[in-house]
Amino acid sequence: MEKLRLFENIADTTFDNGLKAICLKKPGAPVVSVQVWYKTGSANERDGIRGISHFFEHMMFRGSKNVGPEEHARRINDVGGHYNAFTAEDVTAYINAVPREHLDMVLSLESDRMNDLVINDKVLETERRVIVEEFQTYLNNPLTKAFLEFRKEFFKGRAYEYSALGRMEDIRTVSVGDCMDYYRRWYAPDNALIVVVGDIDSCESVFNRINRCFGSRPACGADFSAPAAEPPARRPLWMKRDVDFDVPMCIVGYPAPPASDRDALPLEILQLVVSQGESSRMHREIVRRRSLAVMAGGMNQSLKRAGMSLFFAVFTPNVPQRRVEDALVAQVEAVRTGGISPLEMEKVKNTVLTNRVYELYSADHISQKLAYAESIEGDYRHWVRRLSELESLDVNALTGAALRNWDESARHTLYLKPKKVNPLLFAMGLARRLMPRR
Amino acid sequence: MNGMDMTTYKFPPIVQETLDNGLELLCVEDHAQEGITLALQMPFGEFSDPVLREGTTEAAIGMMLKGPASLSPEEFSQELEQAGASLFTDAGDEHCVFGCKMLARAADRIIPLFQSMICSPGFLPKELTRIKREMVTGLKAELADPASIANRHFGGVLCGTGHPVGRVQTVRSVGRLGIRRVREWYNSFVSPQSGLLVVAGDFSADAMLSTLKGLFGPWKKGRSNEPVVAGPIPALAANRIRLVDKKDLTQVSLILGHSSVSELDPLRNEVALANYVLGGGNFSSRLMAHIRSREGKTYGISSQLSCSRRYGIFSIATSTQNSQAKEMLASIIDVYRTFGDKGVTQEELNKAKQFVMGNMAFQLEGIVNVAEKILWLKQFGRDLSYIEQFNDRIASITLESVNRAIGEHLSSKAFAVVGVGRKEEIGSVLAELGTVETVNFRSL
Repeated sequence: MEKLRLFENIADTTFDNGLKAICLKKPGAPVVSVQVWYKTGSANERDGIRGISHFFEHMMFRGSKNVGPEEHARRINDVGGHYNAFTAEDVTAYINAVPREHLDMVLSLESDRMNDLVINDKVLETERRVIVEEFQTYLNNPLTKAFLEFRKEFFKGRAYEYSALGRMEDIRTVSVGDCMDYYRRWYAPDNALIVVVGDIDSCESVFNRINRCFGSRPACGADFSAPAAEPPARRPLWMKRDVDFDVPMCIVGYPAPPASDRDALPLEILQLVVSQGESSRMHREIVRRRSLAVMAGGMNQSLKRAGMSLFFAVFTPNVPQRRVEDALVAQVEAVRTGGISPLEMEKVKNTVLTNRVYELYSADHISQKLAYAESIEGDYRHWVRRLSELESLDVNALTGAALRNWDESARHTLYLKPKKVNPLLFAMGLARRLMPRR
Repeated sequence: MNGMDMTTYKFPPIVQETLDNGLELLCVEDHAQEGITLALQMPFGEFSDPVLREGTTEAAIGMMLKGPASLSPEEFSQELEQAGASLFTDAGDEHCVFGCKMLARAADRIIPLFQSMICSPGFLPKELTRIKREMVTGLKAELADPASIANRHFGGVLCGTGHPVGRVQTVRSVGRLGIRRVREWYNSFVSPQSGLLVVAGDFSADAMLSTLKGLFGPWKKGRSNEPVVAGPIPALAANRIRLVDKKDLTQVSLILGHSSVSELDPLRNEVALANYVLGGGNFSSRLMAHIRSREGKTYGISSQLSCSRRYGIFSIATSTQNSQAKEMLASIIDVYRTFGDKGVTQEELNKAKQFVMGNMAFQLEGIVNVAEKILWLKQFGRDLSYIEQFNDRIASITLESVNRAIGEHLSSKAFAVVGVGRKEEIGSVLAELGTVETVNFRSL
């Protein structure tokens, strides 16, 4: 663990206006990553403005008091840097990375759009057209379209029912007034986090510079306390969609706890054992030994108020869907009742450590992880301490987490059935299944 | 060049040696973290696939990743993943890379495993059946994404199937692959005399060199087969247009382009800077400013310059709703023609140079990026000092030479065009450019 001492260079502070800053000095490449995360996303929207958070992801590049339209992006390009932004259920994040000597420029750009964003009809109408295009791009992919329907059902009646894309009828009618209200309410320093990672002089110097840029904007003063966890729906659902996608696919989803819950880490470990890599249980059993699927995998989506554990298999048309679904469920059941072995636990530790080591080579990755842990899990130290938490975790505790969360009676299943079956794919699948097994 | 950042980039110290069998070894010490990355590059890729058996390279690489003859695929993946290690590959057109990321503490176990995977792969016939099934599934899955469909067709429209760029894997070509061909591929191309192995990370370079010599030194030379290096792509005399009909789409995905400079062309960097101004620079580019920011007609539009040893391709990719496809296409061509006629301004060129020079800092961040950059340089026969001289090279480029490059390489009168969408709605739009060949989206 010697090299992970990079974390000794980490510091945080909260300014008078409530803005929190986290800073990590990372010597090496002469670059710096600056990320500003606002703790608002699609979960903070109401009917009539579904998708407005995503509008802001776009409009934040369309100019502010001292920065012209797209000038933010252009100025970062001009020094060889890169930028991005994304909208999720709980956050809207703005990502910048520049050569280290341009840190002040990025801070100034970010503070200008936090303080004085330009919101008018012209900007809104142009971005509305762009967002409609983006929405259509997603819907023109049958797999994405079906999955959006699936997650809508999974979180039905709760804060996460709508994805960050929102609702087309709302996207078409969101007004300048709606945007102004949303901006004043959520784009406030006391609802934001700034993370700076890279080849800097010192964290203290960075905090002073942040304070100079962002300190003038007063706190909003609204209640930004973390929302309560939402109980999962305890009902099963089975969905089938006939799609223009030539590969059958089965997805099963189980309730998972909020990211800050004590069960989140155990479920992450179980997910790795069950679904990640060629030595995972699902790959060995479903893909290799039984040849039911071409590939199998899974992921946990950990959000602020709830979560979802997904497992999927892609298979050939000759295999009955029911067998694939049963095989996926059996793997989940096996860890629910039997837990994992010490050898599997050791593999997880090595995998997590390797992933962590490689994350630490990149200022962008470190920023992203710190910002996520602070904004979604409630404390960036969770990410910093993840390896030691893993070391101290009792293998037997994992079963309890699975039993508490991966509730079979709440399982949601999505079957994507191709409208058209390719005969060659069918034949290849059949040939594979008829071959002798090792 | 007032105000221009002139940081000089340097690689960390590198120890290198060429073994008796021809394998070139480069070791880069980097003690920032406890990681080690290995990457072996071979100078052949998918262009070396036999005609009608496109997919041979990918299948053979997939077979190698199943591990050495001494272990079952299950044992191999267990050994690797138990230590937290992971493999990566890059099957390019004219090169391929086998790589492995690991913890330094696992190097004693993992590097010999990697060596045996490369030098004595198992090539079990049953694994080929499995890999072919994965490849076919992947090809089918691509049909869900209109942009991927457009990409698959573009090379064929630009070059025809007589040029390697025009040939792509299909369900049929993958179906024809047999174990004999795949083994033949390995015996023909994977040999130490054409290989370059870069190792970067937390080790002593001398000790690592000694380890690698011990492991890879006994690797016997193979045949010295010449890899396929594709020749230049002839300029188009007239527009070539293909409509890929997909009935369920409300948008059209478009790619249009033409041949351009090769990686080794003296004007390559000039064209790359020009491309940044036209469409490669995201919000700094003219296409993005005109089509997205001003007109709101698309979520994204960009242009790319893809360069190989002896040919290059310039292309513009975007998507829009069917109803505005006509206006969009006219706008793109208008921006392109204006660019070709008037060239770039000094201010635009300065900004493009600043981007290219500043961005190099990110391309050398971390051991994986460093290893990749070394492989990229060697792939094109460049010395490692190319990086140290990079900023000087870019800074010395003049407005006159960039605008001359635009005149020669970004002023095509004819385009290869692929549109993926509903024939009923975009057929007439594409027909305004010339004769349209219409195919079903499942045709490739």
